[in-house]
Amino acid sequence: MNRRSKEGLLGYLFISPWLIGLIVFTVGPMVFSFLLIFANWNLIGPLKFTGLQNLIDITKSNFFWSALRNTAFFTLYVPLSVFLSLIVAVLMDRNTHGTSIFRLIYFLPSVTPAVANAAVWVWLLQPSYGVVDNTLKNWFHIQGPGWLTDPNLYIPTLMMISIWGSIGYNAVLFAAGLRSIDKSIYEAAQLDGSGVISTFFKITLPLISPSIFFVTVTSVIWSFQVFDLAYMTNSGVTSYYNITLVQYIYQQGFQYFHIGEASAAAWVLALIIFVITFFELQAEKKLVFYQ
Amino acid sequence: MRKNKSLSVIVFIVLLLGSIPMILPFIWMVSTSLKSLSSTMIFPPEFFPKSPRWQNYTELFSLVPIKDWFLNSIFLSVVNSVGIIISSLIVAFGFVVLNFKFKDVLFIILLSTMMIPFEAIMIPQYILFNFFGWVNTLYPLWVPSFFGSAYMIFFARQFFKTISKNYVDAAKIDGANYWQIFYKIFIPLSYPVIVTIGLLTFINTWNYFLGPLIYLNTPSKMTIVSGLSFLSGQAFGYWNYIMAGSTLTILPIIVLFLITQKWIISGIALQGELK
Repeated sequence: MNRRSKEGLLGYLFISPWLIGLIVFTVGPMVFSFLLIFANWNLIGPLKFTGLQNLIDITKSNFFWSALRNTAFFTLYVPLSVFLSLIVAVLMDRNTHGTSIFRLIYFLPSVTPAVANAAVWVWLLQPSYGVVDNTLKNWFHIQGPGWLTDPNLYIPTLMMISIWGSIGYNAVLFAAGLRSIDKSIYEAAQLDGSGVISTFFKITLPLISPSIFFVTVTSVIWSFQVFDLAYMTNSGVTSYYNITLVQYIYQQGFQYFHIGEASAAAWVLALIIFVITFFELQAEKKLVFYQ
Repeated sequence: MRKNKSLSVIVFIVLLLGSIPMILPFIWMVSTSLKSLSSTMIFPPEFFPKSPRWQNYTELFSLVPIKDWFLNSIFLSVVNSVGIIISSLIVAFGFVVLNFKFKDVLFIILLSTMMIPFEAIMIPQYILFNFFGWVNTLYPLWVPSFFGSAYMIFFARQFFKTISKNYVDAAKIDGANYWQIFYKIFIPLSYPVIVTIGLLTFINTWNYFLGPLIYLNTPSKMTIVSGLSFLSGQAFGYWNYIMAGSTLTILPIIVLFLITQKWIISGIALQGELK
């Protein structure tokens, strides 16, 4: 065996863990999951191919559409979070005292488990005897709204909790972007008499646009996959119409054993994420300014 | 701008005000965990209970198998970290140092698998692990880590690319084989990337919910996070116990974060820059 083909063989040996995992845990399941879209199966009984029936069923299902709508609505927290995180990052960049403690405090909800975060928010927002409603009632004489029980307020409440949970993480990413800006650009702007605000919009913002873009896209992708928070806040309390897409997949797959419908919904989710990623790559070329 | 004193005072005050809603839920969590049930609801709220009820914690240990949850979570977090470090470094080394057919195509496949959501494959994976008889065991939650994570492979590869090719060539002249080059040259140089991958994997595994929720049914088999979800269903309304459970769930992660803050923050910041 010559040196070249020996190296080739060794190369495959080194990447073999990933290659085996790819086939067994990713490609295999993906193909199987695609086939399941066209089948009727409850995990135990015989598997029957039913053509497009599952796709027809989910497009007729109100639960599926409300799950999709809720999830799409939920993703709107991303621009708000990006905006607030950017402010926090800029402030921290300017701050002179206690920055490391501030960073720790803002970052805390990003590193603690979402399930525990959700648990404390459910407690804070308990109707009438939770501390938020109690404060509103006793100090402001306002009857607290059903934060997590009113179907119209449920998703906005999840958005609020997610903003709280993501500011620190995003701010860390922005802070890295801010640090990478060449300080001499700021000095030049100052010499030209540029004020704080116009320096921010004309210099800082364009120069960290790659970070903004990265954070926005990854956050949108994650927000389509929201589960932990939704599961913890919605177990039986709110109506079934308030579920998110992954919750729908979970319920169909693991509670009702409608494996076909769950697979169809899972592929819808995957497709949405592929489309977002595709547009990301297209838009990145046009919108983002690289230093 | 930095000389502007009033501006820096305003910046400090805004950050201080903003940090209140960030930290308050955690203070409330710990505070509630030390109260009797009846005093959890009184107003004005007591942030620092006058007579802390520490027995909430001891009672919690007899109420639910929280010791098992801890052991399961620690086991999974450690084993996943080790598994992902070993497998991802080996695979990344293959992609960086060795030449083989279809290398570029395979790498593009690796990148594209990063966008496949776990939810899209969780049902067939469940069926597969069910076939192995692994449901209600910890296996489905750690065995896959030994097959690498696309994300961490990419992360390690970006780091390996900064290691000079001269080392490889010199080692080859000295008669070293690729395996020796890997663990005698690359591993010692990769200490920072190993720590970052390990810490991020540890935290992600500790916080992971969907997998444990699907695979673990018996209470004693659960992880601390899926156990907390179980507890909040079982003890609904007993907020002192639920908050005690929540405090125990976040405590190890907070301690770990405090010790390794620098690594975690720079690791996350690096993710943004790698793009």
